[in-house]
Amino acid sequence: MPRKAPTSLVLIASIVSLLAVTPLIYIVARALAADAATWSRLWYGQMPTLLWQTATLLVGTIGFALVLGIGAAWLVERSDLPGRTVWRVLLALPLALPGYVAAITYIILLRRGGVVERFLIDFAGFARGEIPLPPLYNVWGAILIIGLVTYPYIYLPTAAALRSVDRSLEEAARMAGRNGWSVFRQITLPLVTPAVAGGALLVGLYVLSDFGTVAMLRYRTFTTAIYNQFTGQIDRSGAAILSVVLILLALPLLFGEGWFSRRQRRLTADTVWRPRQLVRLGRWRWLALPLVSLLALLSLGLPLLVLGGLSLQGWLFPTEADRIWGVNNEGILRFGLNSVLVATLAATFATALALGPLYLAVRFPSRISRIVLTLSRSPFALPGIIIGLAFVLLINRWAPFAYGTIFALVFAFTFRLLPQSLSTEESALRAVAPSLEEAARTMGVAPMRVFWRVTLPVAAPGILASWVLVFITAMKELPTAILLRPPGFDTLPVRIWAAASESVHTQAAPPAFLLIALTTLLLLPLMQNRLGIDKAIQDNL
Amino acid sequence: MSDALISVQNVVKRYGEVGAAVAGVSFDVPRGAIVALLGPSGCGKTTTLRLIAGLEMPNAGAIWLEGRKVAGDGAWVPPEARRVGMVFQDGALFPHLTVAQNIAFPLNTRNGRGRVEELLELVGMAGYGERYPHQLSGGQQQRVALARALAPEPAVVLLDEPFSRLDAALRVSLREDVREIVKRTGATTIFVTHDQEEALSIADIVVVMFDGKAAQIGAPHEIYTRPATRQVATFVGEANLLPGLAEGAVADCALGRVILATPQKGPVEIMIRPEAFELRAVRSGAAYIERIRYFGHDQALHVRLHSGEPLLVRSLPRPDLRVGQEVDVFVRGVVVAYPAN
Repeated sequence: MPRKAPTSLVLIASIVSLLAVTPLIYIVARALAADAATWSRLWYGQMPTLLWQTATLLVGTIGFALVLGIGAAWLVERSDLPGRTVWRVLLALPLALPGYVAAITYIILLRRGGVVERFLIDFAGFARGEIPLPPLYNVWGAILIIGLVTYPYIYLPTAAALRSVDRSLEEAARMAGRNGWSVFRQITLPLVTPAVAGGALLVGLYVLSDFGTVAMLRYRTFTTAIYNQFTGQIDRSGAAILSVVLILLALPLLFGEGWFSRRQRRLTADTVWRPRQLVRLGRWRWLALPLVSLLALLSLGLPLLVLGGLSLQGWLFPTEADRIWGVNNEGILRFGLNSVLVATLAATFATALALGPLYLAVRFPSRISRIVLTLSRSPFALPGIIIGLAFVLLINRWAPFAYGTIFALVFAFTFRLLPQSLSTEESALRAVAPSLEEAARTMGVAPMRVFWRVTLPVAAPGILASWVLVFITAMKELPTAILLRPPGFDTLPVRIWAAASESVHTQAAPPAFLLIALTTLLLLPLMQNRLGIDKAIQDNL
Repeated sequence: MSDALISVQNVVKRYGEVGAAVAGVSFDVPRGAIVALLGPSGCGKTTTLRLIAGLEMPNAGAIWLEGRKVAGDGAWVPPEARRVGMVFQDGALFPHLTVAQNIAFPLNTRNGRGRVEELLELVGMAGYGERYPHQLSGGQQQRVALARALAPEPAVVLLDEPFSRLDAALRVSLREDVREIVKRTGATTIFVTHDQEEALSIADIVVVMFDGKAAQIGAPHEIYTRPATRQVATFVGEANLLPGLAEGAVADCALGRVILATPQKGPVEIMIRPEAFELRAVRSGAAYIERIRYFGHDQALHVRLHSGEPLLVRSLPRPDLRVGQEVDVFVRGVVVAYPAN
């Protein structure tokens, strides 16, 4: 039913998409306007190192996350691993952890004078300085830590693909004379490969856009270089140039991810689900179980335990430093409320704004609606640091009175979150059968009322899930907050960042613990939800 | 065991604690025959097929293929070693492989090419080798699935509701083609269906299943004209059931005296197929026509006896039979009777 889209809808969707694409256009324009000297200074100066550093981190992290993600997915979905249903959820939860919190945890544990060293000195009789501690401030540390928080991007889609591969395909391969291993290699593996590859590219995008983790580990990549250019130089076009190069690096990953996810949908379309026979691990379970436990411990357990323990210690036996840092109930509560306030406003705005372009694209597919949707999605190509940078520059230029206000912060957050809202809400809107709306129309209800009375209520569970996911992302967001927060208005991530910058890492524990406790608790119910929300999760974050 | 190519003996399959999906099924299939497993959904017919394929392991009973015990009493041959081809309900074509690659999948790569062409020819899909499954219609997918199942020249071909996802007209033409193709290859075939017309028109032997058990095994005309139970009678076609009193080879009912297929005694329920009646238009008869449903090739007449019982009658369209017309009702041939409960 190719109807004509209502003018008001087209108008709203177009405005949203134009606003969304503004930061990208502005940054590119700024970079192109920079003088040749700045370009060549950066190109021959920093660029080779940055490219090399970023590339090694990218490749290493993807490789590590692939091993963890595929291994975990296979064990949970295809083997008789004891406690599979619990592991299925636990192994996905590190999604709630920002990389910089994992980094803080391991720095607290492993740095000179850290928890592990003090423990060994006090209880194992070592002398200061003679204990070999693994150095974290290098590419291996960054790979390890980012890999531990990003493997769910591979684990979730791979597990979902393993679940949804039509069982009769594997049976048909057995009927054609193949044994278990060749069925896996020739049928199952090719069918889940797009999901795995899509997940790997998401990990890659995370690595490119990550700012907090690499900053805390003092590993130089594009994001930290952009930040340094921005804070250290009077001329901001250097930051714009680096941003454009980073965006160009991210684009192939972005398009590749989209291509793979479309391909996966074709390979695992409508299937009859029947419980499948699991591979018996036998004695191997005594290897598999400790490995899975170790993964859960390193990625989720340690951060919660270490940060929780330190928070408790600081609360029960406050030191002078604790008092100076204001890390007491009142202070933490205020930072937490600031975070929740900004995240609530931004997630709500992003969820609402996304409805326009999405509804246009879902119900009135055309070239225009596709362009509007793509433009609205464009901030996804921009790491948070670049969005923050773009909004700082834009606001200073066109609306200087708004700079350093909470409005500017929420505004930037909203557009940072918009792409995620778009992709998580899409499945919710697609789940509303057009015939439902048509039925309401035939009963004489006006289109606007149909949307309120039929479409929204039916899509509500999916929209709510999308809101929670976006809210979690907003809670974790660091670079945009650092660049745009009003003076004195600290959110939890900003507080963590400040403590880490001053190298008083233990002071980061209370806000970090509060942050991951909140996000983990929010993510938990979504993981068990059956309303196609695990699909929404794997599409995103 | 017997010289049957497939022999299923007292096979039981339970899932968890809840009842048995298959509760003791036995039947033999001679070489080259086409067998239909017919029954309502949940009767265990698909599970029986999967047991023969080796995709499920029976809890009790035994299965022989080509004189070799493949399941039961500790024996177990995995599906890939059973020389069985299978066509799944949705085709189960590998979406990442082309049609030709799908068909070549069960073959040794050496003699593959020519054999694939031959099979495409056989199923009427010549020239489609380079397409991908999603580029084919449902009927074409099932043709390719059949070609893939036949590729290694299996002794047995199993089809799990292969036509259920196709529209009516396509279903009829495809099933005729499939029958001809498997007959030509000489493969012994078992197919599962819930469509009685499909079972009766394609199969040499029909196994009617209810609640995990075989209710009747026989040639299509036996199943239709001599159903073993009331349940089979109503499942495989339309049936009129009239109370009567049997006395040896005959019984008395509202229609008068009818001849029984097998002698019985005492109160019975008499089963008469709608097309076994003959109507004669008269001025004042035993019944009158209440309603006529016209189908073109024939018509269904709702006839009510003056004693109150309704009858369903099928006849060729006739000008003398109209709504309200008084008729006399006669029964052609012998009828089946079941003991009344």
